[in-house]
Amino acid sequence: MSVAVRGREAAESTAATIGGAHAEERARASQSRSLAAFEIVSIAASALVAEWAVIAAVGFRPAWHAVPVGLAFALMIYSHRLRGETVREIGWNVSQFWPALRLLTIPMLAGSLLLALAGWLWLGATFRLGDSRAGWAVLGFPVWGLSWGLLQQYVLQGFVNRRAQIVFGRGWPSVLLTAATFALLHLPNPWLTAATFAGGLLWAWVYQRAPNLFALALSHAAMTWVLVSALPDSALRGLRVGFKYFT
Amino acid sequence: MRSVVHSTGEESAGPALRPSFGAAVADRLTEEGGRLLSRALVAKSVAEVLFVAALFAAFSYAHFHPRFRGAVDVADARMVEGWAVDEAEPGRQVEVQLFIDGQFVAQRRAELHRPDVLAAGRASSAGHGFRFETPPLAAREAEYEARVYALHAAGGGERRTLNQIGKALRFRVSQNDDPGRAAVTNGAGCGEELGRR
Repeated sequence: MSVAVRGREAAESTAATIGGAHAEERARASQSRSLAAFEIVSIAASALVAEWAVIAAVGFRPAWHAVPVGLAFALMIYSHRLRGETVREIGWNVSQFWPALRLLTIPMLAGSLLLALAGWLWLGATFRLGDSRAGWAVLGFPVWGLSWGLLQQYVLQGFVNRRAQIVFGRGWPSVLLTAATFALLHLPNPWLTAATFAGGLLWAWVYQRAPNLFALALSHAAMTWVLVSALPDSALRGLRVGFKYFT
Repeated sequence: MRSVVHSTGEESAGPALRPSFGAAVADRLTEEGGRLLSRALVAKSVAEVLFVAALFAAFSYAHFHPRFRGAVDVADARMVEGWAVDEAEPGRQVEVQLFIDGQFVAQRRAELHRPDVLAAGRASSAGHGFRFETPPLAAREAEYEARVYALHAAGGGERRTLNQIGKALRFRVSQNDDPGRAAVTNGAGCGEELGRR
């Protein structure tokens, strides 16, 4: 066998190895995307079970709610570990706080103006920071507003958005999927569903540019405060979602 | 176990082409990790299905109490009678409601003397019978249907459910039955007749 023939065979063998490695990697990427989609569905299903099935069957009982919520959190934490995601990457950092807040400021001001106008023009409500719900929100803002906002933003951005990016890559498809998932979990409350879809678009877009959960939680709490101040409770129905909306 | 960092399909586009979005999420899921994640997802789904099944079984048991026993022995133009017992608390006298053709007629406690119920070992005392006076009904060709339900309070009194006792009994009301009781058909609807108690 000549040296030329041996060289050609070696080159073909290397190409086959590289081709095989690429095919293997493509298969793994495809499996990872399918799993990421399954993860989003699984987390949304847990939230829907808590909002609809548990509330319908036993009302608000923390012990019963703890089952789907606990399963969801266990899966999210396990998934972060398996996918090698660091706490910092997920958005629990300070370095992206100001960039995220800068991105949020103008859309938040515009959103607040729109909400105040919508409340005034369509629902005849005046913007009142001093009424009972808004007053309560002022008092509860640092504790309830921020903690609840942080929790929701972690699930929505730190998990759903990141998995949506694995499925579709970064960009509008994953932003839309994140916002749609967020809105789905606020059905059947029409005003809240619309507001969370709009808010979800903004927060998912900001997260993809500057992933910081603290800035998003601050924005979430502030916009909730604006929402309950701008729209009457007859429209928001006490921010009830799921089966509780009908009670 | 091999760790591979692969693209999510967006790096090729790069920040230059998508200036409004940041760096893509690095996907570091390994082959072994994928297997473990698949198992975790399946296990979570199974756990949730079992949880929802248990939730609704518990809900149904609590709200649609399956321990009521009883029967409607007689239903005619004069009366509807029978007996009802809660096997979970055989000493308790249950509240029963009569419906005729789906219309509520009356509610009372099943407390009449029924030695046969005690003799059959269904209850710890004989006071589990009920008797309703049939309201004036219009004479007609079609049968009336009487159903008796045991009332059950659940959820700390938040909800009340009706559980049918025995089978529905059908009966006819004719002009000859009891002139004083069988109402003359005068074009009034059944619901209006039932409303007159």
